Amino acid sequence: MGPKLHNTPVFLTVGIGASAGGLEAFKSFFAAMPVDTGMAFVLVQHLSPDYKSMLAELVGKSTSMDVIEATDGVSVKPNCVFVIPPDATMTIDSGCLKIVRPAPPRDRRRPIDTFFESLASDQGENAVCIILSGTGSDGAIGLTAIKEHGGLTLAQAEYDSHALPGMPESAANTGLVDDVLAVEAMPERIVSHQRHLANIADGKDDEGVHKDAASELASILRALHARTGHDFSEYKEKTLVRRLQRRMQVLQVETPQAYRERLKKNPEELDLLLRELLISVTHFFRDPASFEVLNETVLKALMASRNVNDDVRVWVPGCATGEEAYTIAILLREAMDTRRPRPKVQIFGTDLDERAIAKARVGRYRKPVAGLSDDRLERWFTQEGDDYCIAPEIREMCVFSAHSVIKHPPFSKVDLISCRNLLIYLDPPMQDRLMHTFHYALKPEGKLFLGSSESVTRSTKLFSTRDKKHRIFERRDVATTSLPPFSTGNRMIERTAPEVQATPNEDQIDKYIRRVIEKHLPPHLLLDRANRIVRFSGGAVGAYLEPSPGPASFALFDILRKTLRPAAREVLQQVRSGGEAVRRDDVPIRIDGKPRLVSMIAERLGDQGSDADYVVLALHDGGPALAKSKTADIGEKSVEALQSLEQELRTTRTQLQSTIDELETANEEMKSSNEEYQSVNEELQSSNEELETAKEEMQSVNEELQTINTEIASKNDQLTQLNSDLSNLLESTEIATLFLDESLRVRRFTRGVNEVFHLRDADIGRPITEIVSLLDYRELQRDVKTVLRKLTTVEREVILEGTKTTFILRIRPYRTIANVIDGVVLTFVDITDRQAAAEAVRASEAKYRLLFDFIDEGFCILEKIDTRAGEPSDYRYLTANPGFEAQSGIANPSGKTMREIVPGEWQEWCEIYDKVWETGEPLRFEREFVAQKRFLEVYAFRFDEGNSRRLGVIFIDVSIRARHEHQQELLLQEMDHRIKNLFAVTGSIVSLSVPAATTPKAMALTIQGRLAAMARAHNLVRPLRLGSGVDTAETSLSEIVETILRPLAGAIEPGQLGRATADGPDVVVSGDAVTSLSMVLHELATNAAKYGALSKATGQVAVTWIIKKERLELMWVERGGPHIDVPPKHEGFGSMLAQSSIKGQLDGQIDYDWNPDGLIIKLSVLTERLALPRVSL
Amino acid sequence: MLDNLAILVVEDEPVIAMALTFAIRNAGGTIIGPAASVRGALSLLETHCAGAAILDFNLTDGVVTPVLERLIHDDVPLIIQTGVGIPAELAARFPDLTVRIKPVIADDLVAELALLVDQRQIAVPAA
Repeated sequence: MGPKLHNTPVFLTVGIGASAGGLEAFKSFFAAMPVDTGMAFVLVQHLSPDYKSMLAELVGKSTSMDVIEATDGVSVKPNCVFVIPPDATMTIDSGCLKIVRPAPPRDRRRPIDTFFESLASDQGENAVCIILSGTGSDGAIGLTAIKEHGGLTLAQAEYDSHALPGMPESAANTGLVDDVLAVEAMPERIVSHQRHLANIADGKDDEGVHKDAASELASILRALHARTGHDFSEYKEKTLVRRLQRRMQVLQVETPQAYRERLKKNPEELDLLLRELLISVTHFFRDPASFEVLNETVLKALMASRNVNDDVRVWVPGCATGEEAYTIAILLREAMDTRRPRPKVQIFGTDLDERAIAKARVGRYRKPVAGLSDDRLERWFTQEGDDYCIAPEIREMCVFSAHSVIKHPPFSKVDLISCRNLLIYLDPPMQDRLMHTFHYALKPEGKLFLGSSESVTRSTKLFSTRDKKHRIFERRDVATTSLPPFSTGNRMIERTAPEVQATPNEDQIDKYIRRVIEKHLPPHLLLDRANRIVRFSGGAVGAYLEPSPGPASFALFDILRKTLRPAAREVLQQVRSGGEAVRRDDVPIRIDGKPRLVSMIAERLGDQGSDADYVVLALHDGGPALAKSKTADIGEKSVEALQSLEQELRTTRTQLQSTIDELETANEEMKSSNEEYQSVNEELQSSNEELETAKEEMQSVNEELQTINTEIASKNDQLTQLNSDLSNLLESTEIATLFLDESLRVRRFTRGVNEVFHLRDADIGRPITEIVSLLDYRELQRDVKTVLRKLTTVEREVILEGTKTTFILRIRPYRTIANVIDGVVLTFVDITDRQAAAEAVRASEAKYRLLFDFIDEGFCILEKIDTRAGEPSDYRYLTANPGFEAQSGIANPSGKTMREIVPGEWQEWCEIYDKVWETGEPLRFEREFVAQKRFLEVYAFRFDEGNSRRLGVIFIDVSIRARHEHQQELLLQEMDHRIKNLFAVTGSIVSLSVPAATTPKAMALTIQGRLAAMARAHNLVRPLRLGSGVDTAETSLSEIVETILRPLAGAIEPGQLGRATADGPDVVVSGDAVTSLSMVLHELATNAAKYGALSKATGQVAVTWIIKKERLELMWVERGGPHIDVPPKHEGFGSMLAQSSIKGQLDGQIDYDWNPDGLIIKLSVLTERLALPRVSL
Repeated sequence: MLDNLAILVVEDEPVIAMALTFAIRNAGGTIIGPAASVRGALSLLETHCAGAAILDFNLTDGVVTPVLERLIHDDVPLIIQTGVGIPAELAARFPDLTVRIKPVIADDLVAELALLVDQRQIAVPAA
């Protein structure tokens, strides 16, 4: 059978399972795998559920096939690689992947097994499974399934460098791995397997059955019958062939002939074939009606009859994968619902097939689970992915063990045996034997529950029928002579005859039955502990009684026939010393003179308790003693000797029998104990299994933990880095930071905190209130509470005690990343330097503020206002000093704009400022400020710091200065004019003085006097200030009078006038009137000194004046001078000047009265004219 | 020399007015005034007819211009004496005006006025 060209490659689905180290193995595998084989690959890797897997990408680098992370429902295509997603259970169904999330809990997560099992049932012999590197044992069970369905199984060789040996080893230990290979060699093996399948495909018919299998089947079944005693010839051929073929696939045997050869060489294969054939279908509540009846008639009654201390024991032989056992467990548990406390229930599930037992122990059933109602599924199972797991409560009721009903001793004292569909596989002798075993195992009235096609027809002696239709039987309490031989050896068991105990509540039918039975029962007596007769069975017992003379007594040994007494004593003694039932046959007795043989049977009434003191003594008539009659003729002596010998023999026999019984009893007990121990052993094994499972789970967990650990290590690195960054950040900010929890305990702090608190690392966890604080701050606790309550920040300025060091303390709530308030954060920022700096700034600012406020110059800051394009620009006054108002005349410009402040000329000003603002060049200029009629000198500059929209403007009103300058010029002109005028006047005085002068010396004196008077008058009104064209210099009339008269009136002291007096009100005199009045008075005084009153030592001059009708009326009165005879004829200089001045210049009047006693002059001038200021040019 | 010609003297400085008065008298003239103010001068002219005039420019109640204009209108020969000169505007209006800057000796001034009167009389024989 060679490769044929038309063979298309078989579509294989290759499941690859791996755990730790799997990635390397995957890579090596795909590196060696051709990409066009037409196979599909499904990778099942142990993945952490919460870890984002990169597996698909990583594997994708090793092969050019499409590598796809599997999604639910994706169909498995050739030449593709599918990868299990994280946190999922993946199965395959009809060529499509099913993904169920999340993955089951870690202790039950076996993704590889799960997938392989589904792969096996879905793809059958087209499945290939590979177990690669990994710890634990996941994959082994799945591999078994693959193998059983005819698939190819491979495991990674442990010498392979990639492998962690756990998983491949477990796989190899199943013995079902076809090849253990290095990863690199696997592709070749799979490809050749694919070819092999293509080749043998031709040898099968449409249904995949080997065409020539049927011919070989008969001989194989014969061999099987010969070895195992099981005859399968009555089975359906097709079924048998399919099962046969499965074995062939497992063994990689291609033809039935080859398999037959293998059977010859290897007879053990026949056992495996048998098991294959024995695979039975079982599910929960198979034949629900039967279970219903069982529940109603047996189980509920069973539970109802039990006390808390009584065990309920159930045996389920041939339990396969445990469904039947669990079914009964569920029913019993439900029956117990109302019972509290509950009796202990033990269900022993046994089967030949250890793998079936293993499954039963796990208690996992693939969906859909047949036979269970939703209620029961909900209540007694937990759902895990595709599986239902039996509830621990039910699981604990069951003990599973591998056990052969045929070969091994049975369990004992069992209340119920459920053995369904097992007998049908057995031949009748074996069935009989099993019935005996069951009979032994069951307690009295124990029930037997058989399959629907099974019966006890051959063992009706042992079992009575309780429900024929549903195959429920009850143990008959009959003595069985023997238990079938077991590997542990034979044993005999003897059962006493049934006792019939009257119970007070028996119903009528039972009474009748008992009455009927009693007719056939041997006569018997019930004895108490003292061997007193408590009951008689009836009249028949009278034959064995022989009352002794004397008082009436129920004592057995008083009324029993004497010949029976020794034997009775013997059996009673035996039975009381521990035997259950003691029988003594052939006790000779004479009844009605005829010798008869009697069997004497003693049995205790109960096993324990008070009933145990009662003993039933039954007397069974064994018929006439024929032998005795034959020897009756023998002489009396020899008869007596014979009797004595017989008696001796009987005694000996009895003793022997008693010994044998004891031995057997002991033996039986030991067997029972053995069973118990075996059960215990089973349970221990079961525990061990669980421990193994747990260990594997631990390994699996360990696997994931290692992965996670790497992750965590990396994250830890990041966190360390981050932590270091944060520490550095905290240190570098030099902000003392203190973390407190809600009860003010120190959680963390930075080094800077030591300035404030004496903290050491050991203080972490201590309340901050216990730490010595250098702060003068007692409200800490209250503030922290405020922060925690209001979740706001509290800020305080705190000072270190005894120093000037000042901190800003901020207390903020500590929010975790999850935004939970967990304490507070205190930060201390040292602001000592800042405060000093701020103080310095304040001082400096104050200084400049002072300058700003007190300089004469006006100063203001302008800010350019944004105006729309095309609109003239404008400025706003930001601030102005007091000098601003003084210099500009405008008060409080701040906040107003140029347009508002100087409406008439703002645009011109703004143009200038724009230039400054645009160029940045300061500008100094003078400009008239029309609005206030002032002339300003302005210095404008741009602030270049910060906001360049600002201009500074310093200015001073220069119009005053200009006026001064103008005045000065006027003054100079005036001075020039006056000097010229003075020269003109002086010239005139000189020329006027000439005519009257007699001598040059007199002329000089006259001129000097006149000039001096002018000079003194000038002194009085010397202009102090000249400006605005008005000479405001003024003096008073009395001043003029005193100044002029003093030198001529002989005054020595200042303030005196000598011989002159002056008296009058204040009269203001100014302008040219001062000079004129002075000159006039000078001439008057000079004349008086020369010719008048002052020329004599007694002469006096009184000058008085009044104001009358706005006129000054002045009187010059001379007295005591020379007598005046006639007035002078010609007018002198003085009077001419007086006329000219008073009349001509001042528009006044002057009159001379030449009184002989002295000259009197009256002078009258408007006061207004006197005060008239001098008008300049 | 002045042949009793009436000379108006307008001078607010009494001493100078006196000196002028003497000088005019010595030269044979008569005096109208002296007046110290514009108002006084104008009122004198209401009642007197001046043949010539000597005017101070700055007076107590202002500059002498109104008097000047009246006299020029009447074609009276005159001399102005002043400390600082007359404004350019006035000089432009009356370019032929004789202006003397103080100090001027009164006799010289009167002699110059007499010369001025003579020239006027020659120039106008009909007068």
